[in-house]
Amino acid sequence: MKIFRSWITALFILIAVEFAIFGSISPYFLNLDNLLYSVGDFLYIAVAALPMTLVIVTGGIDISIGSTMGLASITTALLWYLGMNVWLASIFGLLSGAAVGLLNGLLLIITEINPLVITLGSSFLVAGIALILSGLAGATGFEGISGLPYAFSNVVNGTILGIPNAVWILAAVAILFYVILHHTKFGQQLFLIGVNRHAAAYSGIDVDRKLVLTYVIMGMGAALSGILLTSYFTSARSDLGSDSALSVITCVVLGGASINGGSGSIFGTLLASLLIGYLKYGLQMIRVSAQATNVYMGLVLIATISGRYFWELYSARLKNRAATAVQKTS
Amino acid sequence: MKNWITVITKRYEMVILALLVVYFLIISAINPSFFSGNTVVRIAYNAAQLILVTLGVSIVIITRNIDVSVGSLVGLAATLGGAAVNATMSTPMLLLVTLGTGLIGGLVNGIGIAYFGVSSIIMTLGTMAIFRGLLIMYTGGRWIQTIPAFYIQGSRAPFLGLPLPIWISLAVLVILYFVFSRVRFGRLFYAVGNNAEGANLQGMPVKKILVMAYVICGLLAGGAAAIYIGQLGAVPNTVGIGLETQAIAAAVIGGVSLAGGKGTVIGAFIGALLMQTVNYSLVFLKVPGYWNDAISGFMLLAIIVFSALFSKYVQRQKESAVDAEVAVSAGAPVREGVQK
Repeated sequence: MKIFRSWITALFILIAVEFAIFGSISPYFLNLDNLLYSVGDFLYIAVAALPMTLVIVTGGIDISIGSTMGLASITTALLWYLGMNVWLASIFGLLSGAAVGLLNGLLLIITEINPLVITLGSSFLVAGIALILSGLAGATGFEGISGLPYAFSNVVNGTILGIPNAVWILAAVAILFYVILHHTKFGQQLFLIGVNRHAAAYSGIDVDRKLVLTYVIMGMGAALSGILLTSYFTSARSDLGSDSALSVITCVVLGGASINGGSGSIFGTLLASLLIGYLKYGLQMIRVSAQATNVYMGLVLIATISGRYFWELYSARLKNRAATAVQKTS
Repeated sequence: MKNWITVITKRYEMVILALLVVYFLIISAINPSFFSGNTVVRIAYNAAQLILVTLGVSIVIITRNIDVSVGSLVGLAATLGGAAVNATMSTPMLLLVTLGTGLIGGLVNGIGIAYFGVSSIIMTLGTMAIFRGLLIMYTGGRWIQTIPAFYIQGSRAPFLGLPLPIWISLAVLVILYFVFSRVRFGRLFYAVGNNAEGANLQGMPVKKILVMAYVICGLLAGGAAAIYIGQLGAVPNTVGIGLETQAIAAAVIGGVSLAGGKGTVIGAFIGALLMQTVNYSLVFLKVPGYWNDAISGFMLLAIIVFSALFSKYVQRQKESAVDAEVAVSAGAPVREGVQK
């Protein structure tokens, strides 16, 4: 628990260092308006990373979220295109994500194989279905559906009390998942499942049901991301967010969750999302190309995780030394 | 009945092979023009690069790790290789660059995972972005075109009636089969995948084996890149996107377990062939083009689920057979005792 707490501190320090570096290179970086408005750029990553924390805490993973974003985006826009009210269509978009999550969860408990494989397989299927839906609207994969109403695009692009809606949405979703993971029995059970699934089952937890529910929540979270992305761009495409799985998993792992399950925190994920989001934003601001940004992102991910490994090794050695010193004196 | 089950459990590859044949016949029934030797050759030809990548990924998976960067690595190797052959007009140079890129990429992955404490999924997610980023930075988003005709012709040249890539994939299969089932060195990979801690205590060089697994995977990715350049005659900057997922899925379908220590290169080979057959058959199903991804996705998921349920069934049969034996052997002495 102590290590975990200081990891949060480390994230704060990393963010401060990041702000200091970018701030000294570009005078526009530390502009409060810019910082707040750029949340819209990475909102979809953060909103998917928060429920992904739940999945990773159980020892699982979901690769299909990128496809789910595209499916939710195109479902919402297609129903609107066919004449449905855009808000009602958004609810159906969310449900399409829940359906993907239900499929993932059920296949997972039926086959008992690694969630990586199941969600990999379903990501193909879901991306394919999204492409069919987009084809039904007569739009090719590259065009998509545009011209969504102003009120819908205002969801992400508008402001309330002078603060961009994206910030409000991020805060609301973060609080929601903070409560779910850290302040409910369900959240506690997810940690137990991640630490030891069999022990969890023996202690009377209906592991299968909790896992299915977790993947359904993940599917809806990914769908919400897809819909927010649609609102942000004011147009829908079947491949919207298709490459987001990397960034989302990066945020969760950087946030302190173990990929083997059993640990993780919503606050850590949120901080890591900000770290990654502002890294992208800062690199853009100092005119680093999008391709090079990817390279830096990969490097930061590997360096941070490796740094944490050596740091934990080092702190364990320090503790051992302190313990032997105590023994010797006594 | 018992014999049948033991044969199947020992030869899971046979099940997948049977599935492949059945699938081939079903598509042939739907569209008779699918049923020809030419189709088989075309599938094997197109499958060559997926086969190489799948074999590489399988070796990594056998050590209980994963490589999701391999698609990007194929892309980077193909791009640099294409540029090299354009600049030097020499095939050895192309092979040197593609295989060298694969080697370095694999080395980076392996060292990061074995010596820097980064878990394999994180490491390769990171290098996946790095390799792809380097590729696009190098080309500036353009395609590598005008691959010299001598290489395109040469890399497809028929040998004993079959195109070269088919022979390459078969040769790699034979070598890997020999190494991974007949040589002690190959068994080390299984030992590490089964129980890395135990292998370490037994004095096996676990870290070196991990690096070796990624190096082999990288080299095969380089080989796949060399084949790709010849097959397409150009290198778009999207090369290899999604290839890693196809390869992992093919390996799993072929019986390579993500839990490590289980699976054979032959199974992985057949898995990749099945995957390619599914992709190739879509043209013959006469459905609108935009349905293809969904159909292949559905089939992929169906095959994964089928193979998982099948292995589970076999496992249960095995366990009940063992239980029965235990019951018999435990029962026997009691009866003797009663008689005495």
